[in-house]
Amino acid sequence: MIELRNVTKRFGDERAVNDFSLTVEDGEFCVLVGTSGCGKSTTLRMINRLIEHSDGQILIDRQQIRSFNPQALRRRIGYAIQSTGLFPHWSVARNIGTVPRLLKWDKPRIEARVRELMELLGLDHDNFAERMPSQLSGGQAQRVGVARALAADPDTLLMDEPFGALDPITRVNLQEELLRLQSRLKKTIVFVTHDMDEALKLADRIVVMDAGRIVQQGTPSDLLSAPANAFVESLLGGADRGLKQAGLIRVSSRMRTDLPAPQAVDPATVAADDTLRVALSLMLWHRCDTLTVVDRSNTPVGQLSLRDLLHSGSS
Amino acid sequence: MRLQVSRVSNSARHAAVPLGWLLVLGLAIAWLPEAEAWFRQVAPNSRSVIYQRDGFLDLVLQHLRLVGAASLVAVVVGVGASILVTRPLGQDFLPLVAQLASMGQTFPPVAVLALSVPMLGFGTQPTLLALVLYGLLPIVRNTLVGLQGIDPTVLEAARGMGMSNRQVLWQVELPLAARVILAGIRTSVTINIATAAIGSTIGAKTLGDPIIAGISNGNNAYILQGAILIALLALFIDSLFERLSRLFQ
Repeated sequence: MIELRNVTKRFGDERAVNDFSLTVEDGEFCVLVGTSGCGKSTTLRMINRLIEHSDGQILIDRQQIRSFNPQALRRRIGYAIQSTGLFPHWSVARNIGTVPRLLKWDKPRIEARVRELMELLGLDHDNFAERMPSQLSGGQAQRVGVARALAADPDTLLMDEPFGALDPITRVNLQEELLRLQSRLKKTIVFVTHDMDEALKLADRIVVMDAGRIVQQGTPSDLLSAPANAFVESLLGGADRGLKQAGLIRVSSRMRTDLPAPQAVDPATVAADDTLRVALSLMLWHRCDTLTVVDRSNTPVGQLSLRDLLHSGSS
Repeated sequence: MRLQVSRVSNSARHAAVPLGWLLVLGLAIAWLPEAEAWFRQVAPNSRSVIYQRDGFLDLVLQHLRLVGAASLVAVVVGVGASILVTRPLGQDFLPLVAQLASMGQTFPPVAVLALSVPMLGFGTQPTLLALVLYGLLPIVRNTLVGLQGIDPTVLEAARGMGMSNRQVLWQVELPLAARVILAGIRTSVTINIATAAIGSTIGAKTLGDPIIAGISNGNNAYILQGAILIALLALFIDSLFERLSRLFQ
């Protein structure tokens, strides 16, 4: 658990972070969003003491971070940053093993851990272990960056725009991957991004920041249904809000299963674990107001009509 | 297995260049005293055409010792000062050190010799001082460029992973700057192999001895002998550095 209590960071007379309070529960994926210069990176770096806070308290697992030696603190917190910061003179395996080496694990244990992490991140050990960072694509390098952050199995993970420099497709892939990892590992994650779509996709809780303060915090659907002010609304994309909200709701939560099974010839089908946004797009595409909902094996399991989509299900 | 064999022969090929120059240098040292007939042609009017006050081998070794000692001091001082001024604590001194080092370069070595003789007397010591000052700039300049050229995100990652300042320096900064620093040391040493000859004007024993003696007696053969050995020595040392710098690619 990470707690920030009335934290302020001053650079000279300027307050980069101003009276900031936030509690991130164990296993929670918390995303700080805001425009550049809003203090979100500064907040993140105060947690592992790359920047020292001026006032207030920061606690990890109920202990003041100032009570730790900064190096020891950082070794128990995973850290991943934009453009990876991989050590260019070290192989992939050696990069991933950085923190375990600093913690003086013995060699076989480090090797086994590196192997395990590469498998977890979908990097073929034989193919990639001895490559140098310059021989990796952006997406591969970022996977190595995430593996390195996870190496010593920290409970807490800080991620500073880790996917910021990637092309949209690789970016979406890695977001999916991170969600998959998080559902297994249940780390406490603080993630910084300026991309609200990324935040909506990943977060359990979104914290919107502006000028060093919290403007609004809540679950993605909290934010979408009740943005606190015009700034949050503009971050949420204004008129696209409806679509973004639909992107958070699964078809399975709105479909009807009490109707007779539809004829199998209907070409307009949607998967039960797709979102309402996809369903709406399919309706527009097929020019119809009812879709057949299918499961993973393509067997019809229900129906979704435009009415169901618009009104939260009464059935 | 095949890969290993080719790697061995590869490294043997690279080592061949410095070894070749060393062989040429050795042959020159052995051959010069025997080449009276050849040198007679460049200095037909001189009584003696082979420099004999000291053995050539002795001069080469003295020359190397002087350059080696000066370079060692210049490397320790230059790299050390550059590291210090790139730490947060020493940052205020960065412009000063950069400036001092370039002043060392603009000051002609002859002037350093002339100025330091009254303080240090004749012989090796003032020469050493001049060589150290003269050799500092390339080392300081390259070390600064090498350390400051490291991607800041790499350093941030290193600290964020929990490396101590010392670990960041030894495991990340110095290895990443090594090639550039080595290039600076190479320039410094090569320049000083040539510059050291001037030490002979104030009584240091170097390969400049035959050259100075040749100039004052109008004996071109002596000058040629000193020049040949200095050139070969510079080529040999430079090829050693060339080989060394490959290790960092």
